[in-house]
Amino acid sequence: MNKTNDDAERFLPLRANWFHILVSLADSDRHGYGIMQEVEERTAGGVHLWPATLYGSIKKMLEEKLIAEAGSPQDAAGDDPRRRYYTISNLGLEVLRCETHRLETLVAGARAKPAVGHGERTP
Amino acid sequence: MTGFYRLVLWLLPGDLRRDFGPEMLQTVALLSRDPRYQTIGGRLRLLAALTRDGLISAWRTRGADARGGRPLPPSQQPPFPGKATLMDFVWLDLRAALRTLRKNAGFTALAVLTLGLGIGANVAVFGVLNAVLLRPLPYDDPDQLVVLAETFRGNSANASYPNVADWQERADLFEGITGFDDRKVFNLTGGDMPQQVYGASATAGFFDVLGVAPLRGRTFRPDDDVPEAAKVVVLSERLWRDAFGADEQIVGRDLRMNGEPYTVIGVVPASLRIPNREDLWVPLATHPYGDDRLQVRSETILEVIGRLKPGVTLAQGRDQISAIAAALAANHPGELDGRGATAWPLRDDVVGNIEPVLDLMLAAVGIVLLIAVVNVTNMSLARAVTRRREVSLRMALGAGPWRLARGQLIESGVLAVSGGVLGATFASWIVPWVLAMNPDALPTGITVELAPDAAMLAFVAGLVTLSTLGAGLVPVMLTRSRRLTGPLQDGSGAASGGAFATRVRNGLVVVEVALSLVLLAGAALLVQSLTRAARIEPGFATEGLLTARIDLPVTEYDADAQRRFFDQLRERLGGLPRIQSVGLVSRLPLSGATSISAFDVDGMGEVPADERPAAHIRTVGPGYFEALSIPLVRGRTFDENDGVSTFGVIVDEELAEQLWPGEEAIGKQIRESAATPWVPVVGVVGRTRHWGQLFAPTQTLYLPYKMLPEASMHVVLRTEGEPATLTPTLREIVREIDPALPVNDVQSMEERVAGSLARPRFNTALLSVFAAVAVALGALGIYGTIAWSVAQRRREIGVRLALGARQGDVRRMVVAQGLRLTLLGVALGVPAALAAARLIESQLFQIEPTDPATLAAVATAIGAVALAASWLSARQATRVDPLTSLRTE
Repeated sequence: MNKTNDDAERFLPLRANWFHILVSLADSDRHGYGIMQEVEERTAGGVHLWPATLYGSIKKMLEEKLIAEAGSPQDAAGDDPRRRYYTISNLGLEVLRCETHRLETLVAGARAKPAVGHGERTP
Repeated sequence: MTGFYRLVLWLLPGDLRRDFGPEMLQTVALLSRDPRYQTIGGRLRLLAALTRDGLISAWRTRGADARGGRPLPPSQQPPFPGKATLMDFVWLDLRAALRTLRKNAGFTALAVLTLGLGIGANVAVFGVLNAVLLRPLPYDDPDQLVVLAETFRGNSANASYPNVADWQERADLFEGITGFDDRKVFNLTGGDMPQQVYGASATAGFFDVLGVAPLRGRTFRPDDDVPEAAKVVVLSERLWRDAFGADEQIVGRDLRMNGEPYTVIGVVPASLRIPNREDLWVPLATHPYGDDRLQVRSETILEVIGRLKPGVTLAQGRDQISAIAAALAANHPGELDGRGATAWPLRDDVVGNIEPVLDLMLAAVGIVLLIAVVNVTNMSLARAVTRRREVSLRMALGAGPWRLARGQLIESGVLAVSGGVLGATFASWIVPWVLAMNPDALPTGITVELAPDAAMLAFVAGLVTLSTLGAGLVPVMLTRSRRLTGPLQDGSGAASGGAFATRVRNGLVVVEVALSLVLLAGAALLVQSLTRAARIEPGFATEGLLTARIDLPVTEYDADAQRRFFDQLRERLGGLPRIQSVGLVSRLPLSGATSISAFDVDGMGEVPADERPAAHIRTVGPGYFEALSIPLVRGRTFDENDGVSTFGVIVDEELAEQLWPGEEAIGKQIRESAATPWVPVVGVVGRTRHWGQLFAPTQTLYLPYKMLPEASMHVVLRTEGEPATLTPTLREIVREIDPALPVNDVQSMEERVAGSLARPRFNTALLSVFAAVAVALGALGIYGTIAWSVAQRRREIGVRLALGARQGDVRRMVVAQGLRLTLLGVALGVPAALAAARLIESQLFQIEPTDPATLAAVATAIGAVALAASWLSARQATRVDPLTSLRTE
């Protein structure tokens, strides 16, 4: 196990909010409201990160260096200067991979049971 | 929305607010533009979500702060080794608050008592409200249950059996319709001992419509409700327990009722209270009336309840029933002329007109709570000001405003929770007592148990939270604004500073005075209204009258037997020495029951069926008017021959003036319909108020009972001496005529009069108590404020006295200060009281809501109380020894 991996393991299991934020930043830099919207769309309205929770998490994740501030992208020239963009760090990406792997293992274990299977959720 | 979110931000840790505040506000601005949050409901949802999010984050992040991160200021250094959580600090604050409160036992007791009074009054009224309005009907899906009734000239009454049968067949918007008749008396044998019980006969669907499941056995099936079916009976849980010792083998047991065999098929729970507290139910068809009235469409003898199908509204159901009734009326001309049908929620029938009263009470106790909270705020503020030095010291040592505010809020929280516990205890003790004293105060069938159900717990929690915030917030805000923190610099303490706090306290006192004035004015209006109502003559002499009801079982008494029974009863009673006169009447004044019929008037010509004159019909015996001392205006009263060999009716002045204004009524003729002969008016008697003093006299037509006997009649005895002493005699004579017959509803007429005013009297008493509490709390507030300001000015007063000011001058100065606040409060309270009086307009009788004399009297009373409170503090002020007061500083 290399050092990055050790660093990443420290965050596991990852808090759900942090996981969603990292997923949201995995493909593109976003501002806070953008993260909020992406998470809501991706989870079909299942998860809503309200501002105090979102920025509380962002603050902590900045401190933990899981994410970093990004410069505004080119097409955002007309944006409000208060609006900051966030990008995922290498550590953040590693943590996201580790957590995803961990969750996969968990899910695979559960799926192996016939009672759980791959069926739809019963209403 | 962003303005609101600034408040939420204030909850969050300073660094998060500093680093991300503007960005968060911008995000909230973007969020609020989302189409989902454009409606009012959406806005509220967003508001709730943001608040919840803020509170949860504040809790979590502060907990995280406490666990580590940036170093804590010295005041917040945890005394715990290792990890301390926010809860640890809250616990510390809690202990500090308890310590402080214990040290200031006087303040604590007063504050807890004040809040306890306010919260207790609210819990009590909410408990009743909860029982009456929020969970009134113990039936399945009670909102789908409606009362159906035939209408006739704006009056709605019961319905006839043939009509109900047609409704059942045609009304497809209803899941079921049931008719029942509750005036059934049974002689029951076969239980622990023979007894008289009350029951209702009902159509087969009765229990299914209400959605009541049996405790044992089954309820009616359609084949039980046919004339040739075997006689079956469903018992109430109460009768089952009382008369059969909760016999598990009750189902299938044979009973004898009125001499006939019945089989018990089931037991239903005690919560079923429709129509009243019945002991048992029998199918309508197997319990005939002994005459043909179940076949007559105009005999409205059944009460009717229907259950709307899911999704069908009341209006749709009512329209359908009304359309069916119109079709029936068209098919049965003559019999159903002018008759329609309507529907209203069953809940209205049970809850009745108590809803506005309870709303009023809730508003009143809301004001009491407000005054209580204002008082505690005031007291806390006074303490906050005297604790300025402590606060300054703590701030200087590094305590942040959040920390100080938390301490203050926890302290007011402790007070509020204690007040809540006290109040709830107080309410659970007082409510059953008050209701037991006033059994008529609530609609029948409603029981109030101050059960700590979810609604009640939520309500108490809400009150406690409100009180905590109310009593804690103002001091917290003052702490935050640092207006209280000057004294560490100037060192002079009490004598200077605090001007802002003084203004706030004065403002609060003004509000208190205004609020107590509003309540007192309302109470004064109701008291006067009640006094005036009690003074109104009901149209008959109420003293010395004993009344009782006798219900003859129609299975044993046909019309002739009924006539014979009542003849015999009158004869036996009339021969007794202490009875002056004996009256009989079908519906006693103030009994709350009536029957209205239309008739033809000779000489009026052809009148459309729905415009025929109508009146309240009373069947009376000879001696009725004499017994009640209803004055005979003209003509004669009934004698023994009326209804036998001579025929005549008597009208009251109200009806005579309506039918023949300015003419002689005697000799005019009326008839029930074209099929009956004309009958002359033989007498005119005085007006009576049938419904009670609060209602106008009714137009009444009196018929002799021998012409039209009824199975259920009231006996009225004019007695010498105390009426109640004749009760045993009455029972004995009835027993001599028919040993199986009970005497029901025995009351003196004065008790009935008192009963008819029971509910208004109860409301008035309650509101007066609330007003008294409000005024007492208000006076306490004024006294406290003045006393506090006197204490603040101790040195100044000492100096004045030392320099030769007279005691009288100082007193006048202090009293003037109190008077100024009082006058301001009165000036504010009078318009508020005028506005509030409109709310109780419907409860008022013979008095205008804006009655100037009442308002003036109330304002004067409040002024006097305030003056007394100021004078008390002024007296203390002048007891100041100049030397002592100068030395203390």
